[in-house]
Amino acid sequence: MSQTLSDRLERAAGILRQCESVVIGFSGGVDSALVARLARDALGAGRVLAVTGLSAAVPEVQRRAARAFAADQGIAHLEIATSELERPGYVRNDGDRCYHCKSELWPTLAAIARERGYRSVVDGANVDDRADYRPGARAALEHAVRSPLAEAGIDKAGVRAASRALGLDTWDAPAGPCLASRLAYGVRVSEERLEHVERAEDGLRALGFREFRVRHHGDCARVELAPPELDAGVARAAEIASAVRRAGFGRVLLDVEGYRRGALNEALPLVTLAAGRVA
Amino acid sequence: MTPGDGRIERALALLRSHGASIRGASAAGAAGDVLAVHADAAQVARVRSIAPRLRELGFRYVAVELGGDGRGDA
Repeated sequence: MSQTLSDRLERAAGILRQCESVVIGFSGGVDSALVARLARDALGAGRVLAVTGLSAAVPEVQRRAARAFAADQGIAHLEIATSELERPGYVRNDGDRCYHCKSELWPTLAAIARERGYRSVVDGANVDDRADYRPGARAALEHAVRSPLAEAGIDKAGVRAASRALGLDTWDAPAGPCLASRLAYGVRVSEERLEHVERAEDGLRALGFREFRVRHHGDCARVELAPPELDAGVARAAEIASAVRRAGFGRVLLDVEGYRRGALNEALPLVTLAAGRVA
Repeated sequence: MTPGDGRIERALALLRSHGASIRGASAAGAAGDVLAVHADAAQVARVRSIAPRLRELGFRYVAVELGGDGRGDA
């Protein structure tokens, strides 16, 4: 680990010590897992509570990962049901969907922190997240959620390097945003569509693919495989099509350029057009 | 963007001019922003090589249809 990263980790630990005790918005992914570990080391396990919000948008594989990580690290872990699917702005799935989701999550975590005597709420945002389109970050600001990694200047590569140095199994885990992020903007969010995506991705995982997305475009599934896995995808196209159809899709497409982070954000200028056409 | 706006015809011409062996193409997705190329999966590499030019025709994404006839709802 470089001296620069080491310094930044110490800065993040200092931010956590300023917080005194923390509730962490904890998905079990690489970012929030690192924050949980840093918080445990900086504050002691008794001053840290990792909270995972559960809804149909959170896949079972992610729930299991969050539980396993917290148990392995000796960090108190709480799962709560969240109701973002009852928010019209979230269901509408325009460019602000993440804002509506986080507007459900952060006040809930703030209430838990107040009731249980924790001083602060923190998340796992890193520097790179600030460069991407992240309307959820606005909700974090509105609810005074702190971001120790981003505030300390740690980017995604730094998160992975630090996690590896600390021996965390999450260090090379693929990014795992919520299932709603697979729905093209303007395609309304429903439990059924989220289930189709989850089943389709479970199917691809069972075939041995590691990094991918099944994008739901309303009338079809568009499969993005990480470029190193694209040749294997071509060779196993029939199996992919079968797995995704079994999940509930009638039409399956394989993206020729493969997985790229935030691919659906490329369509944001079309949101207004699409929103009026998709039931 | 509508099915009759000529994008599909231009995409087909471009694909064929680059030697892609295809059966056809259609616009997919609720916003019509996905170019679905009807071809064997083995054509993925060839289609990928001209994907940026296909996107310039007005598509956000370029994909190959996996089996079926291109009809059906998710």
